[in-house]
Amino acid sequence: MVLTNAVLIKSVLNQYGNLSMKNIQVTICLLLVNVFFIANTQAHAPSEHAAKMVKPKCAAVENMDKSKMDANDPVMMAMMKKCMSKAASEGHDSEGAMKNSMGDAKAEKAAGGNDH
Amino acid sequence: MKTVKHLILIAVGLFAVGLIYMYSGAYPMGADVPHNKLTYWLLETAREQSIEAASKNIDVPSLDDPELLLSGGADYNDMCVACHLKPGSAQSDMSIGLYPAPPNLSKSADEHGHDDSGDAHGDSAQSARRQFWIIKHGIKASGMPAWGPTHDDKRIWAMVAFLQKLPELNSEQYQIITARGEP
Repeated sequence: MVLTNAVLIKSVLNQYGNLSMKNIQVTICLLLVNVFFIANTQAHAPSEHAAKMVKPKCAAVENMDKSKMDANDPVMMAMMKKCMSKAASEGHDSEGAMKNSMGDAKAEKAAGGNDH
Repeated sequence: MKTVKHLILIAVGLFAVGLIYMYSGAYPMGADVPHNKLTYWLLETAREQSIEAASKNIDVPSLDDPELLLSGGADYNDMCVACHLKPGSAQSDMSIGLYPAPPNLSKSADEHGHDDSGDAHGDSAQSARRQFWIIKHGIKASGMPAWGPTHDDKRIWAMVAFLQKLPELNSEQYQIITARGEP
């Protein structure tokens, strides 16, 4: 595609030199078609989805049973990461609190495990 | 020598019958009429063998990074969920209308019942290789597109990382991980 663009641009410059109006028009049409194809190949860029930015429902994370959470679980880490900015914006470190409570739950589990 | 001649005649005859059947237009090509068992088995077996052979040497990177789940989840929700569903949804217009029916990837390979052979696509590494290859290259005449031409490998691996966790997610976890917006 880049090569095609370079050839077309060179062609435009050459044709400006020849001052052939018809050729210039044809080349401009080709360039427009080319731009359309470039836009098409980038149709799945993440920014394309900016219009449908759904907010995560982080209340579900806050209401989860912390004692059953595994702080090393990638799913849990991803959820906390996603909801982290909310905690920061609200001015209280709910993620830190969540981590602490999960740590406490682990400690409780370990203590419970030692009892058996 | 006589037996060989007979075998050749039978083979030519079968080939001719096959050609006549094909050109007669009698085979139902609509997606609402299932293949007969023989055709289904032939296509299914060819597909599975081809994917296994093509994907066996793919190196699987570490897929435990939560960032991969977030980017892969958002892509899945935008590009795949209409056919492959999500936790809490059992069917969609696409999952009902496509043939062969796309597997419900919110369920494990054992549960989604896509593979009649009962093969659960091997261990997690083989499953990841298989998913990567299918996402990148698509599957002919199945409705599964090749995302490779428009998505780089890193982005496809992120989708694979998400797919590996998807059967474990409930609908609340799915919503949070796949949402593109900020809270």
